[in-house]
Amino acid sequence: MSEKNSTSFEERLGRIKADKQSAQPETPPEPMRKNRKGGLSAQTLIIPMVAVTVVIGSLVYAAHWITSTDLPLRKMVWDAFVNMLPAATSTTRYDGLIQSGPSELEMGYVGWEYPVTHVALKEHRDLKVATIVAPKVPDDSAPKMVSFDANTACTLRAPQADQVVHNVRLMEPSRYTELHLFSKEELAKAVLDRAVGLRRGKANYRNAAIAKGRMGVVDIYVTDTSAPVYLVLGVLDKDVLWNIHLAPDARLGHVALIGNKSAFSAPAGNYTYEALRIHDFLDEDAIYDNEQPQPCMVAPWREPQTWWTTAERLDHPIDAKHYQHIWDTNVQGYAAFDAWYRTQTGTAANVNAVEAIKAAHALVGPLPQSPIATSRNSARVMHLSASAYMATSEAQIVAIHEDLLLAAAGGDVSALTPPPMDRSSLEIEQ
Amino acid sequence: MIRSLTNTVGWTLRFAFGAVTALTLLFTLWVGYSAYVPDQPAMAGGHDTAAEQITPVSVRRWWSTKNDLIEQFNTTHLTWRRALNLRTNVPYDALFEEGESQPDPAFADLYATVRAPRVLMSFCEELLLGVARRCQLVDYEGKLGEDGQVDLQGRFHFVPDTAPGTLPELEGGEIQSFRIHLTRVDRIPNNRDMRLRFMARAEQLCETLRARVQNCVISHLYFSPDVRSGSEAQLLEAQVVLAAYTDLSEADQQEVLSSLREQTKSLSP
Repeated sequence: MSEKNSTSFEERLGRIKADKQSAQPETPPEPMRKNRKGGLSAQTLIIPMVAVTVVIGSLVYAAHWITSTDLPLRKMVWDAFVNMLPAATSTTRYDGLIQSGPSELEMGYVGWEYPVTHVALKEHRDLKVATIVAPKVPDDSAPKMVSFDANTACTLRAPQADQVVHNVRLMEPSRYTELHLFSKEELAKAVLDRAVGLRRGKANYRNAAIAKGRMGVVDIYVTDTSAPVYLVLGVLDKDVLWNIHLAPDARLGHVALIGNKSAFSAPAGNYTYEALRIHDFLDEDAIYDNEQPQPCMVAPWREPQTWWTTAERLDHPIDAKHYQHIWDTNVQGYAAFDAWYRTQTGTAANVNAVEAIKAAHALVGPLPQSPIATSRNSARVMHLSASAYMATSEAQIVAIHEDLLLAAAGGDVSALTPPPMDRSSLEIEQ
Repeated sequence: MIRSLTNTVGWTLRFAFGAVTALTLLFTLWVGYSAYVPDQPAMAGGHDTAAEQITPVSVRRWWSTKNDLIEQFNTTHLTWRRALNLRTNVPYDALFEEGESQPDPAFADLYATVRAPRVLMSFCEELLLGVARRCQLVDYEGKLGEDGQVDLQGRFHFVPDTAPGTLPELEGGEIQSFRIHLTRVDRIPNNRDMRLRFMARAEQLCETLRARVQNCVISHLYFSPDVRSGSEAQLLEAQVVLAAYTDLSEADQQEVLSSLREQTKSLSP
């Protein structure tokens, strides 16, 4: 081996050693990261857990707020719920906070639902009230008020030979007023419920317990001038104030109200009137149980029609039984009502009948030749079936309740919740 | 830097969410606990409650029965487990002041109920003279009958005056009840004197039971007009329910009950 070769080898060896010493230590490869997308971790769960907790907590607090808030505040919530629909024009002076029904003519399961802008009539046309009623003149006068007792027997005065019978039958009104009528019995029940609530530490009325008797309002336009009209006005559910308006030469012979707390107003005149309260003769079950004849079926069922939605769905592939039940109930109910009606009036219940689920106006007779002008309130009389209490606001209703509670408690409501007695504080006459 | 800031914000939010969750859970636990704790002030000078000191043999059993034991045997708080149920009749006129006119008949039941405490609070006094150191009228109702009499019903919660005794450690321990008719004889006059005597009788029976099983409280008292004797509203029917923490078998319970009933017969009215 030559010197050159051995030197070169040593040099190479030295370089190799030097290279090794100066070489950077190898970095171990990075471990594979765990794929987090497919798995659950604490971080993933936190947000849904918090969201669920917040939602449940909110529901609990909302329930607590609704049950414990003061009456006026709860009224705002209730009114917001009830008053979802815009108030519409009314031809009566009892506008106030009138709540309205549907805004378009709608066919329901068992008949038409007329909005407050439309008129219910026998032919079920799309007729707006503005076409048959003249614009109302501002009127600050008030009608005369007359109270009368409802019939104690399930009978109606028979129509006279020279009278023509007309019927208007609704399930409920499309509009409501702030007029409330309620009886002593309803008031007593509500105040007793309030007393029980106070005894159990509840500060407020249960909304369903307070006596209200809120009146709906329906305008009736009588245009039949052939004879004095024997007018039968029936409503199955709710309480209604019927405002009767007469076209020129139209005459009112008799007004028969069938409902609950009924009232009507009409131009002053020589006509008779009476009222039947459904629940004086039928309980809630009896109204709907008509498989057997009932002698006092005064509930004003409407005549089923083949163009009802229910009739069209009797062969529904899934809900046929459901619709058949609705249909049969109405057929039996109307048959029972018609049977009773014929014994009272001598005519069928569907004679000159205007029927609807809901309405705010109804036309009794032919279309008027010209718009009907409504009479001034001072020329009208409002007849109220005897209700001991009348109120026009929630505040008045509450005041009536509280006054009775205070009187019953002898002037001291705190006596309802006597505090505990201890032997040490007791003065005993030995 | 931005990455660092984002990281910080992210962790801060995570921490905040976790804190909110934890606080909400703690709050709901506190609400639940508060719902149990009585909202009435404890009586001053009350006895130490044996029920609160009981040491369970079984933790699970202790957890399930602790609240019941406190409600049944404590001597400081009113609870539904110590109650007098009373029924009586008074003339409708008795609810009104002299010269006060009566309301419309539609409001008769309302007035009868709202004014019931005027009559019923006297029975609270009787309880305090008898077996209680604290009493409260918690529920009542009045109804006017066709005979002009008002049927009044009242429910009182009370704190017994007598210490309950000792609640032993029992594997199969439970609260057992013993109902005894106090008026085994008919035609007992319904007046304060007789009711106090029957309360004393109930206390004697409880003493007997306490001697047998180491503890007893009067759980429920029932006073009502005796309808067995016809329409005489001035006759009394009385019952008592005694409660004890024990592990008696069914047979032993019947034996104890029979023994207490025998004792009732021998006690003078």
